[in-house]
Amino acid sequence: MIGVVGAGVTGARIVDQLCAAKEDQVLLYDLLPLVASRIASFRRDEPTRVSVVEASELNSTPVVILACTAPHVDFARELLGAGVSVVSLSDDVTDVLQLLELNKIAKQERKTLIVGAASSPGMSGLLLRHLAATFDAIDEVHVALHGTGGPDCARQHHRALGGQSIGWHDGDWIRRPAGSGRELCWFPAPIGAYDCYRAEVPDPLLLKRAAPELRRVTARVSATRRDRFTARLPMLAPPHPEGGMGGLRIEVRGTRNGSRHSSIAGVAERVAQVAGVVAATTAQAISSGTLTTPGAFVLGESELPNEELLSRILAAGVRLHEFVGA
Amino acid sequence: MKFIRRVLLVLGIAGAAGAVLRLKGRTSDTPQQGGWRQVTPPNDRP
Repeated sequence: MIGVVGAGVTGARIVDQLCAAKEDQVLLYDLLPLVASRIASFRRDEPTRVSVVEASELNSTPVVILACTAPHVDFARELLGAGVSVVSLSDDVTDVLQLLELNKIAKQERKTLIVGAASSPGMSGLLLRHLAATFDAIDEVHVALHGTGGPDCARQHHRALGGQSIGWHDGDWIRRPAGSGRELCWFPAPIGAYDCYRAEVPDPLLLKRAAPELRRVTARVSATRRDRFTARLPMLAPPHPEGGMGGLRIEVRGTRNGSRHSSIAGVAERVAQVAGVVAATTAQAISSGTLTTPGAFVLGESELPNEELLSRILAAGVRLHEFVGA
Repeated sequence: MKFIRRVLLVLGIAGAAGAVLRLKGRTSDTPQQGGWRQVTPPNDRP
């Protein structure tokens, strides 16, 4: 039994994935019960029982996925206090930092809190660990994300381009204006090349935590001229119900056999779909006892069964690509 | 006339600065050629 908070685009993908993975029961909670009821009614014929519940009823589940609008920290604290493990999809920098501070409570309660289990962050951490295994030592990671999931994700993308980006550079956290640092990044087909810019995203913080040996970590998101021009204004038009095809690209640099080497991996899929599969797979790993380490973690940390999680995610239909070039 | 000359001067300086930045931009050591290859999940490997 797994609880899901949030019945938006990503929440619906999580429920889909849990149904596909034959989870026996899913408890779904949303501030708008009608939206949650609609998602549950679509899955009436599935073997998995999807029930719409009140927030208090989530305390009876072993693990809850938070796929609602950030901040998640208050909800996560309450759930951990009630003895429930939590998988958060938050991609808000402040929220992610506050979630990581719940490490002490999670350890006290002997429960697991996974922070940023989405596409980026989330899948990016798993790919970092996957690529790092082919190196003798790694020292640089550069992540780029194209596309957005649901409307909340699009709003977060808008805010991220209007804030201050965070990057790890030779032992220091550096802040640069979001929307600067253009770099043409190639994503797997059918996405292709997009100009990507620095943004206020939590990836560098989480990837540095996953691999403390890193000396440089950057994260960029794709943006158009209009995105950058209007980033510091309120959103001029309401976001799409769901973004189109998205892409994630991660480049790892380091040494292999004594010489410099770089490896690039990427995923081309709807962002909400990747986030949904990553979150659902992580929650199932906790629920089934594959992931039992108490404390707050980010995907990619050495204490977690990262290869096992990535293997299950790929088996769920997310296609991983590697760049072969010179 | 003086105003037009100032505008042209400003545009010229901005253009020159832009050209310098474009030509002296940092080069990257990212791969320049190649393509994407799908990775087979470990469970599907023969």
